[in-house]
Amino acid sequence: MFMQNETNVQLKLLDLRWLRHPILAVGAAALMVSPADALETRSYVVEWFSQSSYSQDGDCPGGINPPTRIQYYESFALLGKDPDEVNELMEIYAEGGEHARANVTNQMRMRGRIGEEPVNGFVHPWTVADPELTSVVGDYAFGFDLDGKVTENSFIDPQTQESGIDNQLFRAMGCIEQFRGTFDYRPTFWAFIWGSMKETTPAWLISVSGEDLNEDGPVTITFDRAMEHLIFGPTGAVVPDMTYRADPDPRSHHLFDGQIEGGVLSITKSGELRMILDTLSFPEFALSNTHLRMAITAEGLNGIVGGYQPVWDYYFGIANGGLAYENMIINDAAGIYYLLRQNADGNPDPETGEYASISSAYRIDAVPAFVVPPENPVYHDVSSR
Amino acid sequence: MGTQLMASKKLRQNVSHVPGGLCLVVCLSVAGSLLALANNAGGTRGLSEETFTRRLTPEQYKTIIADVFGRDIKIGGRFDPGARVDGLLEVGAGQVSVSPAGMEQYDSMARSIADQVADERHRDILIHCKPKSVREPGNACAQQFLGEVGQLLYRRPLTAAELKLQVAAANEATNIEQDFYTGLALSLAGMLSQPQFLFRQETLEPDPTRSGEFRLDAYSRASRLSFFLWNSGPDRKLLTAAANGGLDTQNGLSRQVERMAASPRLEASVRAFFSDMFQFNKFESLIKDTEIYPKYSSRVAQDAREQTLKTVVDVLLTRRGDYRDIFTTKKTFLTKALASVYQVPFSMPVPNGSPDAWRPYNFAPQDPRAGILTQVAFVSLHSHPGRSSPTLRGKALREVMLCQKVPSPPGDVDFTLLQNTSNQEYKTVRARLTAHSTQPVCAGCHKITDPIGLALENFNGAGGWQTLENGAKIDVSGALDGVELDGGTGLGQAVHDNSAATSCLVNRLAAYALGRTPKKREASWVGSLGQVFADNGYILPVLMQKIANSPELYRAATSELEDVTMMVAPEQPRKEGEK
Repeated sequence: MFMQNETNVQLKLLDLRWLRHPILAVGAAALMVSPADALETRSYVVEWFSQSSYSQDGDCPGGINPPTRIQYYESFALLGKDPDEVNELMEIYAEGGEHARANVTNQMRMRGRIGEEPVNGFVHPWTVADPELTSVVGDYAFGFDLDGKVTENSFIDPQTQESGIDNQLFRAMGCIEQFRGTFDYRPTFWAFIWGSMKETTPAWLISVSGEDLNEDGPVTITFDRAMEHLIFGPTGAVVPDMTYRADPDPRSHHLFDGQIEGGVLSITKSGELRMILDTLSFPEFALSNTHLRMAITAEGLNGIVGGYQPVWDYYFGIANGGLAYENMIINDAAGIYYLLRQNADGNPDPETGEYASISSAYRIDAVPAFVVPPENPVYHDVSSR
Repeated sequence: MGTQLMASKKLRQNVSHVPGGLCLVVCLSVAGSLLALANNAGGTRGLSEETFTRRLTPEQYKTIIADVFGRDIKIGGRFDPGARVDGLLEVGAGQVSVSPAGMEQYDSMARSIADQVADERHRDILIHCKPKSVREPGNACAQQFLGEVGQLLYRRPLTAAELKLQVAAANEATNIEQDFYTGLALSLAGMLSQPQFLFRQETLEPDPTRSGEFRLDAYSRASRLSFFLWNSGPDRKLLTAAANGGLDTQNGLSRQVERMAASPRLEASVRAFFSDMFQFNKFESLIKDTEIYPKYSSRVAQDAREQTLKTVVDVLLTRRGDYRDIFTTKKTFLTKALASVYQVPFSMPVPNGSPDAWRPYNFAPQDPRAGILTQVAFVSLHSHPGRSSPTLRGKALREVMLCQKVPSPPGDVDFTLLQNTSNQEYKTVRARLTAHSTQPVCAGCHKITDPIGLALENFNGAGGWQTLENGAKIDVSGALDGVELDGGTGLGQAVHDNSAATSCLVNRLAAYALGRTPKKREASWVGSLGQVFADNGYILPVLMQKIANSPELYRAATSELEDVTMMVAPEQPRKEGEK
């Protein structure tokens, strides 16, 4: 019964969510009988997505983790190589000929060990000795209180000052240079990832429906994947007010109960969010116990979405670039694996107690857009405002 | 010096700029034509210079090539800019020459077109004969091809001397290159670089119905008719009619006019005319500050121009509607990029990265957009790069749509106040203009432009919607010739109801057809056109047919004879089919 009701709501919203203008929504709503039907829907397309960092001076004891060109000394040492051998290998790596260098990079790649057998350390990170990378010890991080508890691992959200914030992903990754950032300063890794995926992956759509989106009150929040990719203007920025068709695939369609309070949009009944992407990194983005907090303005949405994210999704999202990613935009992949495992705090295995997920928060900026059903409607008599 | 002579002199100078070893062919034929033009300039009778020669517009050049050789012949290159005279480039086309760089471009385009025509992919389709040997000159085939194509390019049959020159050039080049098709292409390239092709040359004959008066000869009449109704040269049927005296009688002329007006090619002419009248060539140099208007791109500009043309064609041709409705219609066409500017949904299921596709769109009855004045093309074209301009918009409306002249500002005006858009004392452009207009030297002109343009202030400099400026509500009340109005729809209705709008259209269209501004002696003709237009519900094709059927379109009065020498054809053109 619940599913049927939810389906009905979804269908109605699918019809209505392109109606960004109250005057139209009123006309359309008059055709509907349920008093619960939305009267206004505003839609948005995500123009920026990244892990939400809040890096502060001194939040990494002993300093941030060294770059890979230094870290690799440690990696080779962990394989039992003596300092002279390590120095020679690193010299070849830095300046050697193509053949010699290939030999060293292969040793780096195959630095996992199962017994005495070298294995690919990116695919089997647990076979690599833990380089014991540093993680964040600061008090502040953006995010949500996902478990309703205040523990020693909890942060305080710098925006809301709420305590009990669960964002262990920030703790795990926050001492790696490419993952450090603030609300306004974008982490390098995520600038790279978003830059590489934004022109090829289907756009993400968010629609908000409610009685009056200028007032406080209950709303419905819908996430969809578009059938089109983002459309950019002459400055490289995403063009607002473009139309996107929602992919009918239900696997990337998610509906949440939410509310607007003081111009801030939030989810009131958390659930699962899962978006399939079309990119080498992060082919799938999934959150459980999804929370959301976004300012809703005339210019769009901006804020964070958070929840528990599967550790393996995240690890392979950044490790599948192999040695190239490791050298350029991440850090010691195996080290990251250990950081993720050690800081995981969600979805414990009922038998082993091992956590499969890690609390996280992501920054999202979205600009106004029209979201339409995929079946190619022709719009007539639609007001331009 | 008349334009005819000026053009000839320029072209003669430019022969030396034709590069490479192909000069043998190209230069020979071009020089031959120029000599003919120069010699003809020594004639004894003359008409005002506009009557004789007009440079093909880029669109006309492209259309003729497509008509003669097909649309898959690619045309690269750049055309010399035109000159706008009395509101139209078409009128200015009689007063422009060819620059050295422009001649090089013509030459380059001609070679490229000719190479494509004669290449292996096209020759069997476009060249309807074959030489006995591809390595030797093929006199008969060259004569047949160049004669057939030549009459379409020159808009008249080639004279015997002209054809002989072109065939000789083809043969000579074939001997050098040892390839018939290369030789033929080089001769064709030469033909495409000649003034007989690049310029519409009109010749006169005594008017048999008016003693002592002159009119265009039959081929010149065919050409004027064709460029007016199709924006291209005459087709074979029209040339045949000209050759057989089919244009010498009113009935014969009317049959051709009816045939041509019924053709879908009429749309090309309507588009060309309104592109010209609306000054859409300015889109080529239009820039916007994308930091201020992030939606505005070259694609939006291109689509905006096309949107207005589609709207006009829809009202005037597809629905054969009232011309005045272009100022009030809610029906238009959108692309995805335009829909973003208009802030309306637009769905078109095409693959990512596809070119913009068009869909019809109706603005709602209560929508503040209606008619072409509220479309992105008009409001963005007549704005500054980073801000709107009620003055530019008002001026454009008066000059473009109502044919009224607005004086240019004096050279010593201080615009500082107007340009300071963040001035908190004068938050809106209305306030700034009011303050600016307190200068007596400015007040007069602003009085006739600003009340119009201020009604369009809900549309920013890129055509987007705005209701506030510096936090202050924008007031879009305005006036046009004593009629109070509100906003873009109110302005559109006021223009719709203003008799100057239709009389302007009649004047512009008559000028477009004539290639010059109508003379005082033609006032009664233009007046009668206006009456016919009104009597027939302001249906454009009716007006076009009326103009095309008018003897005035093909007439030259003695009162216009001046001391500019008249061009007479070097010899009587051969009749159609004459060997």
